[in-house]
Order: sequence, then structure tokens, then C-alpha cells
Amino acid sequence: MPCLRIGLTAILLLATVFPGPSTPVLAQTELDDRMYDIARELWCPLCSGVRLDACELQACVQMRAEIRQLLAEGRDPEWIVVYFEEEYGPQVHGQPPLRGFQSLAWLVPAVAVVGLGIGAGLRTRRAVRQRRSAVVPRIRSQSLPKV
Amino acid sequence: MSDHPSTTESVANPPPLVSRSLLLVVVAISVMLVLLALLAWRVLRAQPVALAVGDPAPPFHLQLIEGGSLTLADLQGQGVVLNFWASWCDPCRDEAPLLEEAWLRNRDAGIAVLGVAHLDQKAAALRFIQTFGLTYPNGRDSGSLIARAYGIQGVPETFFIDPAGNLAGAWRGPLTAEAMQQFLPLIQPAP
Repeated sequence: MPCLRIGLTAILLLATVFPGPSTPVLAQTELDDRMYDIARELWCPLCSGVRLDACELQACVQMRAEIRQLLAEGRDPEWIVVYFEEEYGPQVHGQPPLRGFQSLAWLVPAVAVVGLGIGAGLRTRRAVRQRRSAVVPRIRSQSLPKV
Repeated sequence: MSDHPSTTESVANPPPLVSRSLLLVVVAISVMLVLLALLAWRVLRAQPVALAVGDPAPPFHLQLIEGGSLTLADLQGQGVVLNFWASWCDPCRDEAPLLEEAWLRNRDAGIAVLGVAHLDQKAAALRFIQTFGLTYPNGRDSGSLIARAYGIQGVPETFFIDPAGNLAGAWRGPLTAEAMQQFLPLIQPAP
């Protein structure tokens, strides 16, 4: 029994001093972090307003596993986001694409802002002119000597 | 005496170049337009296509999981059972044997069964096909194009297309033997 106790203690000590290959565990955690970073940019295509990183549906679990696998294969995050949009459709993207009919979601507000800016500019110019035309005659009327 | 205010008064209090209220209106309208555009996008995105019986079935090009591709035009003259499924969908597991049986029993009579894996990964879809020993053609719906064309609301969902390429019926949810008996005669090609 003492021999067994000494043996177990030695094993425990060795396990403490040489904890074994820790790199794969660290790599796994880092890969998961990167996977969740990408999943946060994407949306569950089946739910309404649920991000891929937070969705518990089996479909989304499989999609997250796919992201992880693609990262392990060396794909970069931008490539994965584009790949997901191509594979699963535009609904996985959190914002409307800048092409086709849906580009209107970007263009209409931009045009409206530019239009309103031009309108405000014109109004400002008119206000400046009105102010000048209102101030100058008053100065003239007061500075001219009365005959 | 003049009715006008004095010169010093006019210069000290000139009319503002741009009123604050105008600026507020501009900002408010811009924000409103952005929100409206985003809302319109979401509504358009969520709008399902409403197919009715007798409508021409939307054409499609399906990349088969085991290689090759298939279009609806390739199946002209045959009845088509178009089944949307996914490996993560439990009810799809229930109906898979029924679809395989329908394919084996009716393929020589001019009825094709075609599976479309929806929002699924190739490896997972392949495992599903192997698990249930499916021998009818199955493909992946890249970009959910076919799903959107048919306006599916979930999986499983099955469309029955007659030999002329028109929609003869649709079944939402897992297929039953009764549903098969109801719809298969409608898409049977004339002898």
C-alpha cells in the first residue's frame, strides 16, 4: 500500500510539473472566440432578430460549427461572411446588401440627406441676402444728413 | 422720426443664418428615412411568395450533393415531388422513409422525387442521406434561392408539380401516407 501511495503521489507531482500538451486547449478556446466574433456579425436565417452567436437552434449550432471548421482551414472572417451570404442567402446578413433593389435602403437615405443639405444651403444663402438687404438701407437712412 | 429700430440694434441682433428648428427638422427627417428604408428592407425580405395551385412551378437549378445538377426543365413531362428538408430538422427524419418508398415505387411510372437541403451543410446533408439510405436525387439550395422562389416557411415542405410544370399541390409539415395518396395521382403522367 505505501508503494501504491508513493506511486500515485509521484504521478500527481509529475502531472503538476508537466501538465501535458496545453496548446490544443488554448488553440481551441481562441478558435471558439474567433468563431463567436464572426457569428456575432451574422443572423439566424430562421428566427427574427436573433444573432447567430446567440441562437440555440440546431441549424445555428451546425452553422457555428461550420464557421469554426472554416477558420481551422485558414479562411479569413471576411471570406466566411461572404460565403455564408452566398450559401444561406442575404437574410444571414445584418444589413441590406449594396446591390440590386435592396441597395435602395442605402441610397434613399443618402440622397435624402444630400437633398436636405442642398435645401438648407440654399435657405441659408437666402437668409444671408435678406439680412444684408435689411441692414444696409437702415444704415443708409440713419447716416444721411436730413435736408 | 423713423419707425425703424436703431442701427446698433439691427447689427447686434441679426436674423439667424439657419434656424435651429430647420436643423432639427433636417436631422429628424433623415433619421426617419433611414429607419423607414431599413423597415422596408426587412418587410420585403420577410415577404413570402404565395404560390397557388395551377401556377407554373418556379424554375430552379439544383446542385446535387453527390455531383452534377438538375433543373426543373430536365424533368419536363414527369411528375415531380419537390421536398425541402434539412439534417437539423426532426420531422424530416420521419418523412424520409416515406419519400424513398414513393420514389422506388413510382420512378418507373414517371414520377421523380427530388430533395432540396435547406440551410444545411454538405457534410451534414450527406450523413442524413446515408443514414436513411436515400437513393433519389438530393441537392443543396445555395443562397436559399429555390426556397425563396417557392416561398417556403420552414422545413419540411413538399410541392407536387404536374408533368406540364404546374403546381398541383403543396404540403407544409411532415408528409403522411395519406397526403402522398392524395397528391401523387394528380402528378401522374398520362400513359
